Amino acid sequence: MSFKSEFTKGLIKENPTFRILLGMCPTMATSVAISNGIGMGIAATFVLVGSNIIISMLRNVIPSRIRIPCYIVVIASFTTIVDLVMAAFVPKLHEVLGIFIPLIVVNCIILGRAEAFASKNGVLYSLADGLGMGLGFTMALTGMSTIRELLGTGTLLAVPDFGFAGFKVFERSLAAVMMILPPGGFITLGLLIGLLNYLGRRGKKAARA
Amino acid sequence: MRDVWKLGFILFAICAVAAGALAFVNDITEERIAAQAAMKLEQALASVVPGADEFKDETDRVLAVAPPASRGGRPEFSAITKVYVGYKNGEMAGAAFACSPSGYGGPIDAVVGVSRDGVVTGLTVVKHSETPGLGANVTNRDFQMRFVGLRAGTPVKVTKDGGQVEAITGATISSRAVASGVDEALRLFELASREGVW
Repeated sequence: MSFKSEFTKGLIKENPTFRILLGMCPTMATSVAISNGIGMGIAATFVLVGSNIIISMLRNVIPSRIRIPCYIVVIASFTTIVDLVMAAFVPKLHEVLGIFIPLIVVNCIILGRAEAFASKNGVLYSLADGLGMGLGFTMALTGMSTIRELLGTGTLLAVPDFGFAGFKVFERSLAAVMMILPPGGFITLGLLIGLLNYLGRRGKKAARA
Repeated sequence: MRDVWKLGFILFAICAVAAGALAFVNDITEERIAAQAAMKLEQALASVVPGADEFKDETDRVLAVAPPASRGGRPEFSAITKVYVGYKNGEMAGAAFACSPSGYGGPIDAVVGVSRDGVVTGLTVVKHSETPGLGANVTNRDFQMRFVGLRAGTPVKVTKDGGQVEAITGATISSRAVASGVDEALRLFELASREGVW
């Protein structure tokens, strides 16, 4: 166990979206545009690191029988604090990320990491775990939203809150609107999980040969 | 049984600390957030009623002309939350209607500007919780400009309902909500003009 290995495991090997399959609801909802995917990823990473640190510090205080309500109180308070502080001090950023913040409370990656990791490990490792899982989540969202935004709208990197329409790749009339609707999300997610499994298995075979 | 008290106390202590932390943060941020919201409203008003240099909240005076709700029915102009009258050098330049029609994911808070002669001069969405990528496009300048230039007198509807405004692809409900907000604003403007409010 090292800081580095706890950090890197969340990126691919134990990627929260593609491997552990947690946080599917925000994944479906926000992977429709790259700007949304990155925004949700950053906001969730921030809360994840914070809640992992606090829960790791409190791990000897919280009795195991009431741990879940305690985690939820910690996560919800942390999320609200982030929301208020952002609204007060960085209103521009809050305008863009604001709609994702309430979604973080119910993001089960955060509860999942609190339960599976932070409640059993030290503060430093929990920090590494939170950072890695958060970045893995951000990467997964960015990958999915690139595919969905491109096929669903024909543009890339649109940020409507800043009035930026994005780089046009092809005509909007040729785009498949289904890709930015829930079915497109499930199809993209399924195909990406399949691809990663296939690559993972091939890698294992190559290592054995 | 003793366990219950002990566990309950620990949970209570954690909740109390969390509540204290939230109260503290709220105390520091409350004023700033209110100031930001006021500034945002000011900007929204100025952007929908160009030329006006002063806005007055005249909600009560204007909404007084609305007919009282019939028993059990939805009151008319129920989406209108505030009416601001914009003045330029003391003369009325136009009116800004803050409305909050129900969209797909909740209310869509928008401000509609109407000029002295009953033409929509601007529309801006202040707050919404529509689906990102679809309904969230109500914040697009492109979409909002479709309402500018509409006149009081004809109902505002999306093309699907036989109206004149093209809805956002895949977001008919959100577009319909914005259209109904603009429609109520224009109808209230017309009624207020007829009643001689301004």
